[in-house]
Amino acid sequence: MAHDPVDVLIIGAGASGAAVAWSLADTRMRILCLEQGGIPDQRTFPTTGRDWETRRMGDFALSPNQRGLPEDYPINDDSSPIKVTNFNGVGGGTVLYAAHFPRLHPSDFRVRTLDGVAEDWPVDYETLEPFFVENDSMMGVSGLAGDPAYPAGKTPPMPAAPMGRSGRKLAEAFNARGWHWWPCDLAIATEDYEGRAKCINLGACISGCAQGAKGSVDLTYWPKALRKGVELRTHCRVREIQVDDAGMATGVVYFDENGTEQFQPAHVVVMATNGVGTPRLLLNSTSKRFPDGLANSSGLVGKNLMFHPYASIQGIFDEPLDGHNGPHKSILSQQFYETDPTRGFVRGYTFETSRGTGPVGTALAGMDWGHIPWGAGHHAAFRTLQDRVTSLFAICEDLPEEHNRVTLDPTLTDSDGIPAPRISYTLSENSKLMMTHAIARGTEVMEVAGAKQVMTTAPITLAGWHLLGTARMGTDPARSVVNEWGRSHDVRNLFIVDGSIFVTSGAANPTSTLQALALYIADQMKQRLANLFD
Amino acid sequence: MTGQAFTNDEQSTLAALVAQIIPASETFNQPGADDPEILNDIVTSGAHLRDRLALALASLSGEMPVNAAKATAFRQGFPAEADMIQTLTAQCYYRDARVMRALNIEVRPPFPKGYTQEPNDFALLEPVRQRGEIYRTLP
Ligand SMILES: Cc1cc2nc3c(=O)[nH]c(=O)nc-3n(C[C@H](O)[C@H](O)[C@H](O)COP(=O)(O)OP(=O)(O)OC[C@H]3O[C@@H](n4cnc5c(N)ncnc54)[C@H](O)[C@@H]3O)c2cc1C
Repeated sequence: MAHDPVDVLIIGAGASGAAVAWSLADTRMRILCLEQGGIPDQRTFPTTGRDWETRRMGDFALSPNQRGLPEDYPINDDSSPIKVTNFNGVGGGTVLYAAHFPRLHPSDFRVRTLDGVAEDWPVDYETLEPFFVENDSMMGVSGLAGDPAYPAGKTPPMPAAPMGRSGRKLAEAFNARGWHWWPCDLAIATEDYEGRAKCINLGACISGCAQGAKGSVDLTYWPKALRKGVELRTHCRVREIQVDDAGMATGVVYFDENGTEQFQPAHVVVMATNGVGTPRLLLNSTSKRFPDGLANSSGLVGKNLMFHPYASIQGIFDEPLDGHNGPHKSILSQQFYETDPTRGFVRGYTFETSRGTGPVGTALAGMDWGHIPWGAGHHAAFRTLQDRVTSLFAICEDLPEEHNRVTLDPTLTDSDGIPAPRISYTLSENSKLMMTHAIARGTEVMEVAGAKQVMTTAPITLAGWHLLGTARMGTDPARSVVNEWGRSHDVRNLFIVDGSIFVTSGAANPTSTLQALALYIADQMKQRLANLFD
Repeated sequence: MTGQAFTNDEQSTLAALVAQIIPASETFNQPGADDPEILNDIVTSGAHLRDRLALALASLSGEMPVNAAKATAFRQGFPAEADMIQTLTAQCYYRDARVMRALNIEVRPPFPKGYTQEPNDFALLEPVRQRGEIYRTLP
């Protein structure tokens, strides 16, 4: 079927695609978004049933390989100690995310200048600041103003979510050590907000929020973008972006919901398919003119994959804490965020708390740790853990390394026969030293807080939720894939707005920065409409 | 993967094994995982795992009745299968209404009622505020 051309074709309806769609809709251009998954239905989310913890290991598993739903594509991550997690549908990763919403720090944009590693970004915190503010308002962020880990002026629109007993306990321990902590910025409504009901502490944010209090973009940006006239076509999986002899993108080939191949012509193509999906699609888009994949004259497409290695420090306490009741995240500490040369590594990490688990999670963790035995002692041992475990996660800055990369798997394909991505990733020495440091400091905090036993893991295996760096931005076409406002150096009507354009990872959950960057790029496009392709 | 459901023999073996994982307790007034209702949930919910578990269960069926030592040997001999059975057992056991009640957990899904939380006390932040800015300023 021949489709009419659109002005702007966005691929991917996740965090960045939604923000760009909403922002560009101001132009009254014809905008279409193609998304491989469907629209999530909150009424069917796990916490609506008593089997909610079980579904987290089934149709709501974090790994697409475990979920294996028709809209998922397989990912060969056998050669990585960290496995990819995502959500493929309208909302993208924000449907399953924990909604922890810190920003990167000003120093993150200048790591080469400050620490002599990686590269500086071609944008800075100040440039992004108005877009952080706009995004906080669109996503509905709760938190507390005045965090001394950030420049003044960060004022979340809603009051902070409850710290609970676990957050309070750890806050007191950070105080006892004289270390920074602060209530988390969360994209979670703590008051009724723009049609979203407030959080009722269901405590399963990463299984999707049945209450709709969590700011996933299917509930924040998309309704507004659709009202402004953007068209969203679901269950459409893009196979490749096509180009003409002049090297301009002409549109995309995709499989519709019936598996029928279609061509959608477009004047501008915007990629928002995330740090794994974007290199996969670019590498799948080969042509005579671009035999090594589209937009890849630098050879950097797929390289410099950054995950944020996570270390986990779990404490067992004598008294009951929160269990799973409440948002996963309550407080953070950025005491060890900025470089301190005496620590033996560069850059740093954020500690975020992770509240607790429900009964199934408690039993399984307890049996894994050898804490809850099989047999007669099971019930008494279970009671020593029930609601009595809480965790700190250290989100460690991952520096870009070219050998950490996404390529195409030679044999694995998705259900449409499209080659699947393969991940090759190793932990750097810097990351290992950082995790060791984090585990030591985190253990101190737990012990001061009164934990009778502390368990640690590094890296957490199933924690590849931040997918960054595989098509990075920069001013030098030999060292980057897109320019300082997201346009491909090689293909002048191709833009990338998702996590793949991150130059470095910082040590904070990325979505706030990723969406601010997407809004900034959309704004640049709007300002340059008359000469967008010059 | 969608092979046949657990045979009667396999169900008996499974019942004997899950009773060793989570036995009934008079002290805590809790059923065992081999309680008919819970076992039915295990067998139904785990049907998709049947083919992967069949061989391991067959090896244990000759060992009936299963005692603690045999369960431990099974765990060592078939770690992947034992892990699957352990997960399945915990999933079904801890959503049983009698078990939830015994553990003082309300018998309902989290939604739509949700849970309450105590209010925040930000006086705790005073020392953090007093120490002042900690972010790195740029040259
Ligand atoms: C369990 C979990 C917890 C997380 N917690 C946090 C958190 O607390 N804080 C935080 O900041 N971040 C968190 N994240 C990460 C966050 O979700 C991502 O940073 C964010 O969603 C990335 O945005 P994106 O636009 O780059 O891609 P995504 O949001 O992943 O969107 C990409 C979209 O593109 C679609 N797509 C891909 N390929 C194609 C194709 N070929 N054709 C059509 N459509 C395609 C996908 O289906 C998807 O919808 C979490 C993620 C997970 C999975």
